[in-house]
Amino acid sequence: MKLLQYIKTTALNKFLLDVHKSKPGAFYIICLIIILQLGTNVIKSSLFPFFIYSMYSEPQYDIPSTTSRYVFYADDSLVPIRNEHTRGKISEPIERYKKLLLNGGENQVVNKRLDYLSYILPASVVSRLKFALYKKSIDLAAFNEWYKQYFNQYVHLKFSKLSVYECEYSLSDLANPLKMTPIITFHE
Amino acid sequence: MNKVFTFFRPKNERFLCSAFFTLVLIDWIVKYFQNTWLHNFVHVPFYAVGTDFSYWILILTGIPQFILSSFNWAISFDILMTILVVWNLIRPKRLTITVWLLLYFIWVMTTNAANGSHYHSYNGFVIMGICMCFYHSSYFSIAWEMTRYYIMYLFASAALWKIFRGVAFDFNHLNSLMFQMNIWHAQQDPWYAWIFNLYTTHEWLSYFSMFTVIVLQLAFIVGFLTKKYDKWLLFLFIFFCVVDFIVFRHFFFELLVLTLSLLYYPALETEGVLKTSIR
Repeated sequence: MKLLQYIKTTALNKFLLDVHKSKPGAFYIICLIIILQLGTNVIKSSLFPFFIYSMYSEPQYDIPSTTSRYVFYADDSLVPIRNEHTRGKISEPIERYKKLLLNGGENQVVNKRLDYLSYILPASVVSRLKFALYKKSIDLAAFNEWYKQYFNQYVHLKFSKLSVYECEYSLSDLANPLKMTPIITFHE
Repeated sequence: MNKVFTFFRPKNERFLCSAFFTLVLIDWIVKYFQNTWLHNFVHVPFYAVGTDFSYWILILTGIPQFILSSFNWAISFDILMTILVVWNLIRPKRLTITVWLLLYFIWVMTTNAANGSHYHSYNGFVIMGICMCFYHSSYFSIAWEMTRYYIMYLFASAALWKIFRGVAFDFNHLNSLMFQMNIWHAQQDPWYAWIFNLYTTHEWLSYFSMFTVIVLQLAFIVGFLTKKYDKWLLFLFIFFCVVDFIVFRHFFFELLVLTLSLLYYPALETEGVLKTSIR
């Protein structure tokens, strides 16, 4: 009972009462936003611009023993990239391309949300949604041409062949890779 | 302490709007040099739709694909955005602010989808932008108050999420994140190597730091109950952003714009200002 009395005096409660009294329309919109946000959170989703600030919240459990990064060779010479921001920008599309190839052009995170939707929507609707979503968001065949011009925005270099490798390093030796895996080669 | 916060007072809507669009303009110029204007993503082959259903809807409409289908469309979009930001800084009108916000919605979601990661910090400008859409209307103070509660939700939900996912009880969490995210930065920057070594060699320090951040974020629950401690929450907000920049090298400039709602409150110049918004 005391808790209820206290809640009545809180800033949020006073604000909502005030809004309800002066602008009922705004009050119902606020309620709708709260319901939609909580509803999407249940399936670990969100509705822009509202979200759960989940950065750094993925459980880790173990300290890694190795680390990997993408290394670029233009005409068989190592491309020196001193800025980590630049490396991140040119590596990100490669990482996505590699993952999409591994998963047959699909994204597991998206598929999981589609599975959740199949509980409330007919299977035919979910299947059509999946088809349209992938058709409009992924074009693997266009990657090669696009990446070459994207790479040039960050690294101004002329080359006839650009090879990308994924290098794995031990945490105690970041100079010599333990393993080098070729990912993709681009030709001019 | 009181002297520091003498600026903690009511401001008219023109001042709040100008302050906001000045920050938007600064950020927009920085974004040009970070290559995140849309003309940098022409013909992008993948859009990361992720878990957010709003991104799904936007991609299904085909709007991002249309804008990025040619360099001319993309650069026209960028130029229009620039004009609208400057226009709203000089002569703000509800209509032009709303048009800017709609385009900003599209820009944020398109650039995030094209970049491959949903950078949530942009939401600071979006939320404050929604508030500015009620410029010189009786809804402005409600929107301003909602922005304040959004800050409380943002931090409190972040802390609760970490607790429910068990991260708060994981001794190696921060240590492990540092290795995964920043080992190469430490390799290149001597000043950062010192911080990196500090956190990765002293496990107790990394756990204590993470635990402190969770407590700090949890403290924002107080903001739902009372406005008495807003100045301290403002201080914690800035402290969080500065520490995050030092340890993780991410600076959430766009999110910091939300602190305007802790710093100021709308002056009683418009009819319909809520009594509860007065501090």
